[in-house]
Amino acid sequence: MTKQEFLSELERALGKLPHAEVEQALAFYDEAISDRMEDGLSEAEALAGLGPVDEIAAQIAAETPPIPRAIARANTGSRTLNIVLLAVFSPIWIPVVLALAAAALAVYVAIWAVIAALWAVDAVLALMPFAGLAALASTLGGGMPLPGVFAFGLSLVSSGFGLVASFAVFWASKLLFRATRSFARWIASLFVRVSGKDDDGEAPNRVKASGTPNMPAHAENTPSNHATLPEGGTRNA
Amino acid sequence: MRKAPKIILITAAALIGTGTVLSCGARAVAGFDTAACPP
Repeated sequence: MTKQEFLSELERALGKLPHAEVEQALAFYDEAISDRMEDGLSEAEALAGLGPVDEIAAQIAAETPPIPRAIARANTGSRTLNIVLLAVFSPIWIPVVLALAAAALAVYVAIWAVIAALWAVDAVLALMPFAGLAALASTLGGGMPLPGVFAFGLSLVSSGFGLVASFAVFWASKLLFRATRSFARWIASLFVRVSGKDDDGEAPNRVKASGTPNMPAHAENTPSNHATLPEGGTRNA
Repeated sequence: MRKAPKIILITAAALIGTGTVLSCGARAVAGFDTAACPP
């Protein structure tokens, strides 16, 4: 098999993936094979080291975000037919898309609402002495200060607990903020490849085994992909 | 900035202590009489 045949077969195997993904994969493997050949391997050896085309295509398909993959699969190949189908099924997909967007927004707002509520409760506790002072002033005016002193004392205790609770609220806010970030990343990962590490330390879409040539996760961000090539590529890194 | 938690904790302890003394003191002066001290 020649390089051109390999690339043609890969293009066919990638089938209905988004055009940009296919172009990216082809460019990547074109360069990978060229690099291997420049390193002294024959064309057949360079191709043999890459593995079966179907496996490569399956790996690339698995790393393509679900939404672009679904859109690409639904593509009929005819622009007119695509528009007609979109229009015909719009009573179904438009409400579904809107509902999903509203649900995502609701989750985001709910998390921030919990953060706001926690701080509001904490602020009320911490500022309780103002209410205690008002109670004290009103009872002093009435000539019977003991209930006012009692209430003011309780308000001071409440303020103290409010200040202590602010540490817990701060910690909870940090956790919830991380949750919003993870949620936003998850939403983004449905549409695009998200680079970088997740909170659990797992690197998504990263090359899994050095012996298997996969599409690198950051292929779309960096013009040169040689650094992630299993062999031969490090020369140019 | 690193001293802030310590200051907050000391303030909180002072508030809780003062508040406890004030409220318990008020109750004690009232003779733990619920009629004189409704709360």
